[in-house]
Amino acid sequence: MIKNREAGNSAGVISEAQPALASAFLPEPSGAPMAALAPADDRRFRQMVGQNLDFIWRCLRRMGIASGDVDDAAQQVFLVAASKLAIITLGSERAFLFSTASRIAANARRSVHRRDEAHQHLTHRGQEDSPSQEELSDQLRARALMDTVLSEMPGELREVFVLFELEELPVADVAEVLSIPLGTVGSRLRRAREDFHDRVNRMKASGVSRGQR
Amino acid sequence: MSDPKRLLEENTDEFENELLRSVRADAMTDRNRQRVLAGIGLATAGLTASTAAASTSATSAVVKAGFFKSVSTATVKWIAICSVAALVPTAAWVARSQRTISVAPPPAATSPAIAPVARAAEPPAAPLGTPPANDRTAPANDVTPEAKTAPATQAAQPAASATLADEVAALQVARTALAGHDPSGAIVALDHYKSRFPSGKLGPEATVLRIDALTQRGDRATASAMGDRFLAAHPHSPYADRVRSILSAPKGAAKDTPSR
Repeated sequence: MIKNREAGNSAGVISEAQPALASAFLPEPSGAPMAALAPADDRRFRQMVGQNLDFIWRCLRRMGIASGDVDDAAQQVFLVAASKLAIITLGSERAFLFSTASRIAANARRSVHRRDEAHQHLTHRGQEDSPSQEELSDQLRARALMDTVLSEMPGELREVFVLFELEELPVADVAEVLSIPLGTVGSRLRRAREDFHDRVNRMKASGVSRGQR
Repeated sequence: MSDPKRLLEENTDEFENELLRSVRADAMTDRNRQRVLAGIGLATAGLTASTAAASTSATSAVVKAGFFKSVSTATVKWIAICSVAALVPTAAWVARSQRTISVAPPPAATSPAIAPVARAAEPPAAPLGTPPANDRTAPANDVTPEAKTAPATQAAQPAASATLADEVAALQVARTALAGHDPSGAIVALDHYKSRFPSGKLGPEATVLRIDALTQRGDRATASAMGDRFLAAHPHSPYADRVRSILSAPKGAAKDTPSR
């Protein structure tokens, strides 16, 4: 299970596996992890993909990956999972995948930010098209604004908000996916909602919502 | 503990609700699904068969979502043409250089040929080749079936452009990981590339990416040894300057991976 998320290590699962990765890849890997999967692992991996691909793809998109980059990010999530099947506890596959997706999304946001600091809203393409925003449909514009809100939300709040409000998972499932207590889910959800309200209110005050209707 | 109501159910702020509803449009298309599955070496058919055996509700949801639908021929053509066009100069150089030397010898591949899984669901008339559907009687570790394909000359015969496009897509995963400062993820992706394309035309580019990833990860000794071998084999490669730049960069000053 993912134990160290509460310690503030957003890359917890990944760091747990670093020694295994190092021994597997240095000096020159002799083969791909996926090529060496045993039959049971192969079935397990396929099941993981079948059960979680859509979920992970949506979560990546909702955690700030630009629509054109979500496929690559999803590939990365499952490649990481394939290489670390041995350390993924049975029954916690979805937690592992979400944790990995969250980390990859965070890296992508930072990377985009580094590459182009001139843009204020860099993890989504809707804002990049701001000169022609008025031409967008209300729905697309709302989606772009939602990207802004989510990308600026603190990570631990965004995770709960995405899983509960957008993915509509039960609280118990959110707790399982994030490997945190139910009470923590509740408190984070409250804070996430407050954060959401505040950001939207600021957006409205600045006139961003003008023309929405 | 009963779950609280969703914000959308109890919220009266119409603007907030509109933002919340806007994410409902987030959904994988068939094209998205094909791309992801191709990147991780899973066939649509093989995956579905396996998950169906598991009798999971999630699988049903996937199937309902159009899991069996095929990518249109036009779409595949378009992707392949664009990818190849963008890489013609590099691929041409790589093809020439690989005739004389192999920097990273591919692993032995002696198993019977297995069709690239990413194309298993293509329509029969598709120009990119129509390998047979993934056979569940095949060896179980067919997650990366390309790792056990026949020699590259045979594999390249059906559609060289499609293979190159696949290679481009596979390397893009590594590039994305590097750009995200995830060198371990990049190395996983490069291993996957190597298993899928043991004699890939973009092998030198993959080697350069691996050198970059090893450097980012702090394994400068291995990166340096690999870089020296590369430079000895390809002293006039377009990548030579980049390899020298990577190897000469001060510790902790890994360069950004070039964008696609």
